[in-house]
Amino acid sequence: MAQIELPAGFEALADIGPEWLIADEHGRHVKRVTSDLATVRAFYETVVAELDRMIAYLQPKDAAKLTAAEHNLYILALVCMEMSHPIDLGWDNTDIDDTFPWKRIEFQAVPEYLNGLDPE
Amino acid sequence: MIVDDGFQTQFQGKIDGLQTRVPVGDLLTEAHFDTERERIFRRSWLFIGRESDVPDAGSHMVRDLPFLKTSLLIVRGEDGEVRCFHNLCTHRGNKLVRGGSGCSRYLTCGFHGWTFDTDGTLGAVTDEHQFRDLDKSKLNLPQVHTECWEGLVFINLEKEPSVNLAEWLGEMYGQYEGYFGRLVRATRMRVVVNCNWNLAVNSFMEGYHTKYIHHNSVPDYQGGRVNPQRHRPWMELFERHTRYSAPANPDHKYTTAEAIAWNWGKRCIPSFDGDMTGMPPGVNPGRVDNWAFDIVQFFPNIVMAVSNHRLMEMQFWPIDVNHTEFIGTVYLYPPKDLGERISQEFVRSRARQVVFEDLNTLEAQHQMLSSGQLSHLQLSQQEIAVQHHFKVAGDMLGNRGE
Repeated sequence: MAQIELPAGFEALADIGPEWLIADEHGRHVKRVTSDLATVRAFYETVVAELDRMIAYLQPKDAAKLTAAEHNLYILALVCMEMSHPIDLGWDNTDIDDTFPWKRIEFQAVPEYLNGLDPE
Repeated sequence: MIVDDGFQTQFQGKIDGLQTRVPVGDLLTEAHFDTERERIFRRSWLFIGRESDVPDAGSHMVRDLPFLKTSLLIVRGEDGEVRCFHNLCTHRGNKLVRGGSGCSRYLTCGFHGWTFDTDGTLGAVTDEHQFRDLDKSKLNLPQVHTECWEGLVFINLEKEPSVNLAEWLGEMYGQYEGYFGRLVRATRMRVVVNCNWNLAVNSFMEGYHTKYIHHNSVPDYQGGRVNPQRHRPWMELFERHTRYSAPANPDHKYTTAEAIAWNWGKRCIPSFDGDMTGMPPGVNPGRVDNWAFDIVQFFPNIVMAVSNHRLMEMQFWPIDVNHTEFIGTVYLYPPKDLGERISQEFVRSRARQVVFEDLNTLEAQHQMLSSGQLSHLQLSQQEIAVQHHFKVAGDMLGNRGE
């Protein structure tokens, strides 16, 4: 299994797999709603256990000077937030059953958000 | 049995005389839509974008409004002023800028190369000496009345608007100083919804639906034990617009990720900190306790969910009687570090689900109202902003009563 490069101290997350390194909001949404609940749960429960520590590590960092490993950690934290909702709220699926079809929504880029750190 | 939970709404403005039973009648007919287009949308001040969308001299963006049979070009001139033009070359009527946005010192038509300055003045005409009787002063870009307010750009398509923007916005005009500029754009989404624009706007103008439509995405974000029916604590009706405050739930329970998000960032949704530091008087205007956010409708087609750390700006542009373009933009407090940025991802993703639920209901409602089986919309006091919407629309249309 391919491993993710992460800062020292976060090796326990390295086996999660690069498919979870999703840098844009739309991609994260699609990943959630096209994954099954067990897959999302496995990811979320692994990462959320470390999430506070991840943010504590990243919070003092200069957003423009992250190493590749630190950037991976940052993206994992964003993905964890996206994946939290079906698990924390006890949904039956990874999307709400009676909701607007996500494929019809056009996500538009917001390049100014956080000075381009997010490649959206 | 009627149960009154005792939580009273403070109503402000003229609430008498509104119709609690709004006739469906011809609301979803082509003829009615044609009248709305001419008497409402051609006569209203319409929010079209932000000054920050055209930040520099020469910055421009296109806004197509096919239902009004035009495309608009918003341009910041060399003098710094934001102007709006009908987006056509005054030579043969070609669409001057095909779409999107850009920045250039001149605007050049791709058809024959006529060039306009950023203030709309016709500059260069290709092979000019071949034109007889050419009066360039009469061939500037056709300008649309444009006014800016707190960084928001409004346009009016009337030849001579009956009121200026300050008069149009009324009391709210002086109540949001500095507010819109303090938040940064974080998310934008667009979708065409299969429903009438009135239904789309109305659905975001009341909180009566929140216990039901949003029970999956934000099950306990409003109300709580002190206000179980989630009555709005504050509702205001202006001459044209409406505003209400939504009640936070003091009993709200954090979920796991939410608790972590609030360790590092500001509470936006589904929890709210109510911090009013630096907020202008238009935000939480009643200064109510347990405040979540305000819903402000700028008649006819803009709804803004206004809070201290977050703004959801919603534009509802008719396409035709049965279709509406929804453009939703989320603005958040500027994240000062990566902790706040990650916290905001919780907010962005949760709030997205809430909007998707709202959109979904619109199409179901439109489908069944189209059946003709319902003669009236029976509206409660908690839906008084919807009543007001139809009152204002009716006045502009020449009153469509019972």
